[in-house]
Amino acid sequence: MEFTITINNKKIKVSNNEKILDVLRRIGINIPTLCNVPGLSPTGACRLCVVELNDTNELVPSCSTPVRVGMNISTHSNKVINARRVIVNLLLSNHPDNCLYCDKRSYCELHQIAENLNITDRSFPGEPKKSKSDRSSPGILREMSKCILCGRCVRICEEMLGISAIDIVNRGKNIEIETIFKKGLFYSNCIHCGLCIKYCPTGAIIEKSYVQNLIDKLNNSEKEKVIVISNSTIADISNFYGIKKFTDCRNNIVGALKDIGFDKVFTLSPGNEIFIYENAVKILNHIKDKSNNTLIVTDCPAAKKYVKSELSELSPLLTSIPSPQQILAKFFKKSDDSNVFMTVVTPCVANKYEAVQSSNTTKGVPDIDIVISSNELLKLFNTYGIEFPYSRKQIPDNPSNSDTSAGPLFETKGGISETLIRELLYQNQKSYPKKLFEIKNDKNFIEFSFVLNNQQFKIASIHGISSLKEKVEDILSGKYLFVELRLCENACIDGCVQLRDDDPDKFKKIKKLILDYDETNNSDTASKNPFIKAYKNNNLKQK
Amino acid sequence: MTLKDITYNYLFKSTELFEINNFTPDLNIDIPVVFAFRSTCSIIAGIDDTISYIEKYINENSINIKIVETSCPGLCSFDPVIGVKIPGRTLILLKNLYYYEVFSVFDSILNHFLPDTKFLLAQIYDQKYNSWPEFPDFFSLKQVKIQKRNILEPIKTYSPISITDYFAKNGFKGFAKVLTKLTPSEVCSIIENSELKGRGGGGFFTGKKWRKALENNNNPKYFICNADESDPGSVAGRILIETDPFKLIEGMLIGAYAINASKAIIYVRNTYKLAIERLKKAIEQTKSAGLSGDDIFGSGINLSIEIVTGPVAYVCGEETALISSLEGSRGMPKPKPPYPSDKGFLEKPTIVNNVETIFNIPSIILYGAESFKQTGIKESFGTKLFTISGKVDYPGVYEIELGTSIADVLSAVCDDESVNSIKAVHIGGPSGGFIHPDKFYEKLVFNDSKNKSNDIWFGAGSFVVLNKSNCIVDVCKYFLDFDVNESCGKCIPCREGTRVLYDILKRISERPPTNSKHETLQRFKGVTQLEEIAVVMQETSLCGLGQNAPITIITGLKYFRDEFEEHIYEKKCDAGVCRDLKLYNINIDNCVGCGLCVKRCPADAIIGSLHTAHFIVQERCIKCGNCFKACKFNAVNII
Repeated sequence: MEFTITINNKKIKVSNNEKILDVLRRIGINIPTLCNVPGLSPTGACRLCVVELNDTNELVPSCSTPVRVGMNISTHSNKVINARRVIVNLLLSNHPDNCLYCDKRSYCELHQIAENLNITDRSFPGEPKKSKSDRSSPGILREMSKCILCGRCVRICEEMLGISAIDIVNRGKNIEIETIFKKGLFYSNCIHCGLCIKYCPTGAIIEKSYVQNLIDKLNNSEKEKVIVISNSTIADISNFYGIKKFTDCRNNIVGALKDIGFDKVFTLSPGNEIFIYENAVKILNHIKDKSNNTLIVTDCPAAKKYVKSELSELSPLLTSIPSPQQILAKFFKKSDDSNVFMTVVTPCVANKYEAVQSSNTTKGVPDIDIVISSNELLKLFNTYGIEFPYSRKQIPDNPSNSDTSAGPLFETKGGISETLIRELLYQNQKSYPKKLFEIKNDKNFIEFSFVLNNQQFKIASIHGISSLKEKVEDILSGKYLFVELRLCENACIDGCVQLRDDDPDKFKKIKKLILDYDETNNSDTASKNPFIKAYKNNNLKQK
Repeated sequence: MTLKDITYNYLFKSTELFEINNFTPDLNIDIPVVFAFRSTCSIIAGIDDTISYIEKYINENSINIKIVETSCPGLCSFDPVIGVKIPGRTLILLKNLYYYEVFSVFDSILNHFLPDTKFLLAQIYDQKYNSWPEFPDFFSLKQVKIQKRNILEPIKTYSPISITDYFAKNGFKGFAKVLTKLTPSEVCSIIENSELKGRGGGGFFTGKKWRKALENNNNPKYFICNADESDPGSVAGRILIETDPFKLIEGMLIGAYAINASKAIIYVRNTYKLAIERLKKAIEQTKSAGLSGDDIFGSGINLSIEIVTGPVAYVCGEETALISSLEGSRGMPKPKPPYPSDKGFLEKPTIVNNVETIFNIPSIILYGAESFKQTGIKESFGTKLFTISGKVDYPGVYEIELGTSIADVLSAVCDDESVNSIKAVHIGGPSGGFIHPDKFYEKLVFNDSKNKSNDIWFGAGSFVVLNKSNCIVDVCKYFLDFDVNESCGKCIPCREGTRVLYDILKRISERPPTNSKHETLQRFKGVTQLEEIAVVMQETSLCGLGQNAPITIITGLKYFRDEFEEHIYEKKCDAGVCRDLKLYNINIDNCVGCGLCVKRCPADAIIGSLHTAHFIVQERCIKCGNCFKACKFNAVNII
């Protein structure tokens, strides 16, 4: 049912059951919110989104109030602005003042809202909050003194992921967001996906930064310094600086990193390609064995941890190929006392967690010495005053110089399936279609089908925990040949610690960059890379 | 004859109870009967010791006396209350009967002599029996006369945990009527016609709510009793459950029938041990009497009742928070709409009613909506339970007819001289406000929370009387401290607002450490900030806790603004409660060095040798005022 309501003296058409906030966003009226997350149920906790109903002069939260026939709303009346000012003032009354040292800085939503409401002074008395920080996780840092208890992280962890690693404890003035028994994230069931970092409005949950460690090592270490950059990071930086071509940006970055002092610069593509190749071999053997199980192919450490701890019935189905970063780590650090200092740049916090897992360490030392995020890479560039497009272009070192476009494509949504099918068909019959036949494309669930040796196979690409939970039955019943599983809804290109940007459609632009690169490139499956050919001939087996 | 048969014959064949089971009320038997009015409040007063001494007395003298455990009449200042009925004489009520007095008192009563007058509360006149001489009737006591006991019995002379005793008082007749004669829609209409309003604080029409849930076809539905009474200063729900658990069950069965629910849940605060114990026994008996369970007496209706105990959290009394708590998650309110009557427990239509509301249901059903409307005044029919405490002489739980003025209530619960020294009444606990003596003529009626004609807001019905020795700022501080600790912490206005309000009050009730201009300015700003925050909290908070928490401040500022200003400008607290405001020092000119103050000081804060002027060390002083009282030379000054 559709009807009209009055918003700021204008007639607006709305449909039944729509929430006021959604209508306001649709017609371009900006309402400050701190707790609202599109897609999750409204909690009405921050009360900043209040609007005034003109007939009763009542303030109602727009996020949770559905539209009614005959509603007459003022979104920025004096009363509304005054209420918002008081609420923000109340929040700021015990918020720590050390914004200068806060990682969020101008990206802090609380800061922006306070600025928009012209708050320049601490008007209510209050001592700045003092709370312990949780530094246990290698990727996620929780500084709870900056927490405004909006509850976004709790709801995401519970509603979006179904994990509930953090929850609200105590009540009243002692309320806190804590992990189980207050032991810290590392000791909880946290899968280190980092979604809470993405959604935290203040600097309370941030990624743990290793840039300064890296700079120290760059200047002091005698070892050979190697850096591996994921393709998502390259694409993100090229989108950030408006560089139209993927390879241009890649070469720019390589040049810049060499100037900073890295001895060798690689992309993640060789790792991706080995990952694809190994999985393809495994799947072909699987078909040969006529086994009916569905295999789960994933490079996502968070998804792996989730499957192992929460859905243990699926864990035997995982193809136990290490992630591309770890493949490269083992490749570069062949001997125990290797003379390589390895850095990896990824758009993902879970990789920081993965790097310290006991299976990925040698004598207690992680194989990958430092993992930094795309965001941190930008900080590194800023430290060295590097602007893009950078004057010096260089191609990456061997084996990354012979990249195929399967490497970047691998990191997009549905990329594992697409590159893997290409590789399967290539290994089997040396020919494959460029575009795959999609059967179904729901938001976080894509189903493909393809024909191999006159046999029809189905493949699913699952993104996000909620769609995984829906498909558990299908996976167990062996409906698919294999499923691709990743935790982020838009895969690695929209990882949690990509460059900070307010643009909600950023990932589409990044994906387009990569797809353009793939379309123009003929070398587009893993085995077309001479490096993989060499790898295949057992010349380059890892330790 | 099984209990089920008795129930069937009594309720559906209208057989008289005594015909069925040789039922005799305890008052008619030929041996002495002792009534122990045992509830949580009298247990605290020591009734358990009294009962064990009575048993000891009976054993030692080997006489035949029957002890009946029943429930408290709600007059807490008289606890422990013991009733004695000896054959042929009226029932005599003894007050403040502690265990060490049992032997002498029983000696005299059993020999037909009245005991000392300090034990005599009243007797219950009955023409059938000889009355005791020169001894008032229970119903002529002013504390009883002010009450209109409709849902509680004036004095309960039968066991609260026996279903047959409850039958004798027309128990379950209402439910039987509903089951045999009325459709759910008709039940809702009766409640709608009675204009019964929710007694938990909201004051919403119960019938309307039920109708909404009935019209929703999303099954199963749930009927929940909110017995999570956590207001400081209110125990009405506890007294109700302890006195008449069966009435609660009957009301819930009717309510569940009226909305087509098949499950009724009692959410009760887990500290109410006696109430839970009695409720469990009552639910057990209801089940064995066949009044709950599957296919009740062949009607095809399934109703089950279960108890869930809740943690002691104030916010769990809010219906959406209560539902979250029942679902097993953290008790935090959710935004409304959707209302629980559309989407409540497990996303199904749910009715949450307060204990007192449910207690009104059976008699409305049995005697009709019109009989309910005989009591009270227009728009506020019926009675309301108030837990009266504070500076009164007769605290307790009083059932007051709506429309009674506050002044009338006060004159019944106070002696004459203490009435005049009353400074204010605080009704409604943490969500209520102050009433100024100028407004004592106002009638106790329900107010719409949105357009209030006066400041009376019942909340859960706590009624605290304050006199000259209470400081308004301190009372505000007390309630805010409660809110600061009990706020669930979900919405910002409530969590941060209560904290900042408390900080401001704390600041103005303490002496500033230095007299810098900045601090003085901050203190001055206090009053305007209190109002600013209070208004925004009322308008924007998520649930009733935050919306009503500042009412105490708003009414306090409205009627006692001078007292706030006195704290701020003169740094003085007239009631002497805010001790941190005072500064004691010794005037050297007047001090003769007698040393009396040194002896009286509990904190060793006064130094000085004999016959020389003394000195108070401010860091040690605890502001008790002993030195001021001790000094005979006016040498100690209060600044």
